[in-house]
Amino acid sequence: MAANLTYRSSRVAMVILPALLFVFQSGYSQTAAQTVTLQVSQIALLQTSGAVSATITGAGTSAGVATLSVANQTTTLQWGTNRGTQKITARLSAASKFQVYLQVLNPTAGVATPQILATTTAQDILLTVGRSQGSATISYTIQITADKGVVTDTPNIIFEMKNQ
Amino acid sequence: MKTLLTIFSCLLIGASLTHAQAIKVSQSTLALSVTTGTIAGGMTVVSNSVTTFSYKRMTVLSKISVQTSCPNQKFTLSVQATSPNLGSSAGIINLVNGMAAADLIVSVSGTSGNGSTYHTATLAYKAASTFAQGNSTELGNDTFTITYTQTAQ
Repeated sequence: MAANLTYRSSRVAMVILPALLFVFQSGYSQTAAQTVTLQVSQIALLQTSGAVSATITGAGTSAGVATLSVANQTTTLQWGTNRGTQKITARLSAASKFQVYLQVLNPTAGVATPQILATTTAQDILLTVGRSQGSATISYTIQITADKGVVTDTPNIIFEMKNQ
Repeated sequence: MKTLLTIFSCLLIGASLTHAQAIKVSQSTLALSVTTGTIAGGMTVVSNSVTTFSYKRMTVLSKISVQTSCPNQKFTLSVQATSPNLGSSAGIINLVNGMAAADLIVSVSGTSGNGSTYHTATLAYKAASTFAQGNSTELGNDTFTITYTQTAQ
């Protein structure tokens, strides 16, 4: 009697267990996983909209004034960076016969510094431009004294983005 | 009789176990790098479609959904199942830390058989970031644990 019950129990188990497993199919879920690592490099982009051509004619200069000048606001400075706090500096690549004053106006991000007289040493022109994309007008004032006579020069302004 | 029952049981269990391997990805890890950009266009989006997703029919109509975990997520990642040869792609899914499960492939028809044939789709990832989102050197990489799940639809 006991042996018969054991056989029946095992037979039931052999039928029910797989049947339950099969029915379970309709309600089960299966998973698969993938790990994706995303790395973003540091980017610092800086450019100007073009070259500046300026001629000092002396027109409008008052008699007795030794300094002749011309102003130009035709170009813009544009940047994009994903770095933290950054600043933009300007310097001359080499000494110039002219005095080149510059300042950035109406920056869409960051804080402009007061006008600088450009030298071969980098000076701050725009602060706090980290993780931004923007532009500003470059305002030049170029001067020369009358005693220099007729002069032609091509001062090259270097703009750089640096850690602030 | 006992022998027949044993064989029958083994077959059913075998069929169930076959279904237990129903979905898989061709590679468990993937590395994406956003390295370039332009001032006007921002950071350049990176696409990657090297992962093959494999799945089988269930006994009922089913779908595949996706979830992700990415603590301290900083950047942007999306996935789309392209060219599924069974079922329909649900389009581009933006992967956001802690997101609710989103459908990736739907309408995977059921089968009365054991569904032993694998069907495939390509997982097309797109990685992006903005200048404002920063960079990995200063903020660290994003590590997404992406879980794909097949359930009855």
